[in-house]
Amino acid sequence: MIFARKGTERRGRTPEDLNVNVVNMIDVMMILISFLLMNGAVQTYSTLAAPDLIPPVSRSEDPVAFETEVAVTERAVLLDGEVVEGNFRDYEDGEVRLLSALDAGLKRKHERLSEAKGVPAIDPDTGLPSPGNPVIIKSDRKVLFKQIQKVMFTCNQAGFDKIEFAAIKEGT
Amino acid sequence: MSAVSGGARRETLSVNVVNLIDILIILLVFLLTNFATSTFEDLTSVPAGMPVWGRDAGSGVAREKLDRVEVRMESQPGFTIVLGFSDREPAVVRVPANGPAGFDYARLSRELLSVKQSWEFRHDVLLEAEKDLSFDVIVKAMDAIRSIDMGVVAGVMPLFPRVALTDIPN
Repeated sequence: MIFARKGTERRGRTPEDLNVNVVNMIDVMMILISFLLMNGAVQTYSTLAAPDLIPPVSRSEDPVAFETEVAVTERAVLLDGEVVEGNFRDYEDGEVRLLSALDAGLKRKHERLSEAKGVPAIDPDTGLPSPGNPVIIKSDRKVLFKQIQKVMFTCNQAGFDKIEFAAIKEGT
Repeated sequence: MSAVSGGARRETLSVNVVNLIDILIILLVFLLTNFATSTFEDLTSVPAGMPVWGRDAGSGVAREKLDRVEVRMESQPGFTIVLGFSDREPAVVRVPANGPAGFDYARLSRELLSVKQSWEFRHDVLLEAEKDLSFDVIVKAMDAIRSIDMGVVAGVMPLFPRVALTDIPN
């Protein structure tokens, strides 16, 4: 950036150049912008999973476990960030209790987790997926309870019976 | 920025970066605002069980007397606390809806506090909610059941930390 010094031309002398070096400032700003853009992208993915998902507020102090994450909006259900039930709203008036696509996704994940932990995937006593796995349900605050119930029932049937709801901590 | 060409005369080449800096500053302000609003929305979790019939309710002095604590949640009339006893008829406490504003969560907590003071060993409550209620009010009711806000000095006091969720049977 170049500025002409005031008054030099009036006295008839050659104008002098004043250089302000802004290269370092631009470097710093670029790094800061890159950091903020990356942070924004990661934050949106990991905490909300969908743009139309606004969790309720709670005064609970319990930490959130992100091992298995089911996000519920008014239109769709996502399992670990991927849409598994794209027509969730269609079930609103129906008597559907088990969400088949979510059930299949959870059972696949259950098998992988059991394999990694070295425990049997199927409970020999009941013939159902072995229980004891945690799941966090991140639901939009406007979703109806009857829809949440379907998600809870499906999680429970797939062996994810330690259910927790995600909420925004009060006062944050 | 300047450069010397030809050796005889010094020429000045200038690159106008003012517009670039303007855009970068606007972008920076926007991203910082976004960062401030998103990062500090700290997430927490609310444990929610499903009812398991016939499970042991716990142990304690008054175990034989109080079998179950149920909270019914309906848009009208509001909350209904049902205390089921093994040796007598259930006791019912009504917490009417707080006008058009909705449910009276503070009064529900106060009523449950008096239950908790009589039966300290109880930790679980069955919340029976109307199917068409929103998730937001369900979580608020769970908060009111799990703890009571006693103000700045006393803080938050735990009530019934284990809440099982189901719908109201027809």
